[in-house]
Amino acid sequence: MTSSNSPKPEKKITKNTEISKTQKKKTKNAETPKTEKKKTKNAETPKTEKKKTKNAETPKTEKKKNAEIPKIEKKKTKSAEIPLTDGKTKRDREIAKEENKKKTKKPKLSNGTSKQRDEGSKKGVAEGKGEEGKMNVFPMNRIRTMIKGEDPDMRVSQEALLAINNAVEKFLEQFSQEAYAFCVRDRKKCLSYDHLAHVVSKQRRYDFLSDFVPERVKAEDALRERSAAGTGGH
Amino acid sequence: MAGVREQDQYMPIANVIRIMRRILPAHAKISDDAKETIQECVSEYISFITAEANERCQREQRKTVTAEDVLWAMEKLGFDNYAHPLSLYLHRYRESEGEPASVRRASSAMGINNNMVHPPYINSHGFGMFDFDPSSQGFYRDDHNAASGSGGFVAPFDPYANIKRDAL
Repeated sequence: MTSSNSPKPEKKITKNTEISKTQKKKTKNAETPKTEKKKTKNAETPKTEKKKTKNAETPKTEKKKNAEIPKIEKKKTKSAEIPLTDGKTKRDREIAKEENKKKTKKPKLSNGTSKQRDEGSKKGVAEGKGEEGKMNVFPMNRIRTMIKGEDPDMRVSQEALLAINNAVEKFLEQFSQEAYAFCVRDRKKCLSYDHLAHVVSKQRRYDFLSDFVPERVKAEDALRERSAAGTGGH
Repeated sequence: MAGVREQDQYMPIANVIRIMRRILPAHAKISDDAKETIQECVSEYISFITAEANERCQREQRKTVTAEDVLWAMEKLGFDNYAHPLSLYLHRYRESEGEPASVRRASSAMGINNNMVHPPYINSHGFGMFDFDPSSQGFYRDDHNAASGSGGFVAPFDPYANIKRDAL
């Protein structure tokens, strides 16, 4: 009884997230989709409940539960931070600082931002090649901070951080390559969210991203499913 | 405090885009939506691998997570094609740990390997690029698109194009 009741509100909330994502397509402003994304983050917490129910059915409940605990913590922090407006400015400052280091102009809220960032990234590549000492692409302190954020008691050796740094690099390379393959199939020039979502849904190894990158659904289909679930409830 | 946490939740987007650019062809574009999404995916991947490695570490009643735990977690979670090159990398890293001078040699060796890895990826995408030729013609109205169009024509020679662009 209780188990059957619990998934219904979750589905409704997820459908709301899908509806909000369709709204992203309509809006052309650069700022509004960010707020909508944050709305989706608010709704991410019920998705974790979905995972719990699913894991309860599978025999590997213990392992998956352990893996999910840090995810839940992450989502809670995200939901707590969403109402803060300061976060936006800090993000912009961070981006500006990174680009200033590469001696590029500050980004503007327009199509030009992506182009400026592209230039910055190319310069970064040149700098990377010049410095032979650079062995890692991502800052080690950032990885360490992220890991401590999940479990303060966890101790990670320097070599483990190095291994994680390289693992992330390879993950990103492969993920980008597979997403671009779908981009080519669609005969499109710009790699977009749909291609990433398609990779996640197609390959099993990326199941841990399925809650973060769900495929888009039309509002009509979502409403139909919602009404069906509603009738089931009654 | 909250802002600091938010900043530290994600990897820097510039680094993420840099690696993506390394793999994708020169004329490929990435939407801002995709950039942010991948940023979140990378963070989730780190927590996913770390949680699994930590689980094994605690099972064996050790306090510090080691590189072996990370490699084991990757193999278990379906990323075993990463584990082999990564173990080679760690092996070289440990060899070079004794002498600071050899660190440079090891890093240069890694650079060479990266260069070797590049050509097959570019070639595989090279076939895909030809499909873009008709679509790129449609964007000649804008200067930026025209530049990207010319980039498309130079697609088979991506490494040289990159060098030219860096020079500019």
